[in-house]
Amino acid sequence: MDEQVQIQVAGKLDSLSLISQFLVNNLQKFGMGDHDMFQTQIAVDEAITNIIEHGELAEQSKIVLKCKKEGDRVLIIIEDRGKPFDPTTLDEPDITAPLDERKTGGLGVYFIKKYMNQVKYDYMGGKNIFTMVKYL
Amino acid sequence: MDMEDTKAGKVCIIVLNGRLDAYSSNKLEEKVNSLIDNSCLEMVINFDGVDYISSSGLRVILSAVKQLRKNQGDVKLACLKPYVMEVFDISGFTQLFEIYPTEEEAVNSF
Repeated sequence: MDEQVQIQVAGKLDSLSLISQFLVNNLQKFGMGDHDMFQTQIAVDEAITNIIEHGELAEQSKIVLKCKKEGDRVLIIIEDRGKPFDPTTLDEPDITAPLDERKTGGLGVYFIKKYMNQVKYDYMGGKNIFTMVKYL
Repeated sequence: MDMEDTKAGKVCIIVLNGRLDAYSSNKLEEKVNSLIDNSCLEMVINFDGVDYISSSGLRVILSAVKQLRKNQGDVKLACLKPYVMEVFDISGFTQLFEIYPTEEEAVNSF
């Protein structure tokens, strides 16, 4: 049976631990293993951190996180009303660059692409809608 | 995230406990910068209590190593758990840092 849960959080960095707890509780119920859960937590954390740090959210604006189990896969959908931003278009960082040339940015989206099986971005009704899929 | 700092000779040791996400990474950054401002050149970060790290944590450690090596210092890492090690690995960070199985080995490597 398909199941869906969701949480709404303030656009502040201290929401991250709340989100992590929400993910652990629900992904376990969906039957996700520890390693996949660790990777999914990182991907969600990076996506939400980007929204909080770069999305220019209005003061009271909330971020909505939905987790949905569909057969043998879990969909994670993150919605926000910050400025339109498609994370899938960012260039990958050069992870082989020597220390002097290593950049500090770009790793978050790299983790998302590395750890999730599919990612998709839409902008609809004034909302960024970022969907990530992880197969169980 | 709890963090404690101690010293072994000239080496500053930071022991971390908890999740290293963007929120707690800001606290770690403050701690690292205050040690560097107080002339710490040789630093060990003990990850034994860390079961989660995001790119924000990596960013703080990268910035620390750049600052310290510029002044002939270094930051060495100890006790990384398997999933955390995987994050270092896929980011190419295992090539940039000296990583030791124990805090003692990291301290003695200076």
